[in-house]
Amino acid sequence: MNMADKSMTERDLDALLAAAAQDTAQAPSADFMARVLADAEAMQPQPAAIVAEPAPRRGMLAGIVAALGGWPSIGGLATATVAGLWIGFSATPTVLPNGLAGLVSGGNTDYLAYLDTSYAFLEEDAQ
Amino acid sequence: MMTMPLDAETEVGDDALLVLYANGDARAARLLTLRLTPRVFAQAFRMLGDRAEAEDVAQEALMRLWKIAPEWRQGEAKVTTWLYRVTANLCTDRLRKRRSVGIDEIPEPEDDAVGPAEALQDKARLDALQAALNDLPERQRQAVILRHIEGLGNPEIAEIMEITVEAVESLTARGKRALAAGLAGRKEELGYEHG
Repeated sequence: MNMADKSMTERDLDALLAAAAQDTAQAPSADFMARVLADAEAMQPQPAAIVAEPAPRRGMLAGIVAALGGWPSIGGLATATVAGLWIGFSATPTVLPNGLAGLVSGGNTDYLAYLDTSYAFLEEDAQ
Repeated sequence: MMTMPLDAETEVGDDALLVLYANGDARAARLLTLRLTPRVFAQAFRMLGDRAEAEDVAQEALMRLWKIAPEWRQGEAKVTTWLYRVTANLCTDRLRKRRSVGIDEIPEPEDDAVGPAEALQDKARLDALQAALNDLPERQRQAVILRHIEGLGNPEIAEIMEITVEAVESLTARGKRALAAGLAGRKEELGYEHG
């Protein structure tokens, strides 16, 4: 009897290994599975806030305000606007010798003709 | 045994589940546990031949996975390959400790099942196989278990054991020859009469 006869055939060994692969003895018990799951849950990072707090809805005005730098800037802008208006009115006697009245009353035709010669026909119609 | 419904979730890859786990998804924790624990436990059980020790090792290997989950980089390594390697290393540590404690500490294969004659013979065969596995040099045992019990391909085993595919082939071939020789003395007792 030689060595090859003594040892198991390859087919028998393969069958035995295949049986071992299916063997329930190597299956973990339910208790052990529960222990592993408990570990997994205990060590699991807490879920991050998946839904971020919804941003407040903004209207068009709020958008414009934000683009201009928020309400403090708007305050400055309003002040500058009012100041500009006041300067505009108070400066008219210097810029327009006859004041605003001079613009809207007599001499209109002269004024228009002065702007553009193509308005000269208006002067003719007026006469 | 816990069962898992065969729903669409089983199609989700391990690494995707691990990312979900790291994001706090409770179902991912459950699915990964159900999927990975049996594989890690079987590997450790065959390597160590002892349930209690296999449970310790499998639990530790999976703890390491839970811990590393937030840093896991998808696509870099297979979760199972990583896990088999961690388990293999933990088993090696255990076996090294046993050697320093003494050979008497090695647990005998458990023998507590009672059943019909055929079942007894199947169990006797499986116990004999486990005893023969326990006698194999550690690297051969590792390779044979990954190839024939876990059913992995040689390239993956090479990655797990950090050796070449040729080295894996050599280890499994030598391991199987040694197993066959180890079981030779009990051939008739185990009902292998031919050959």
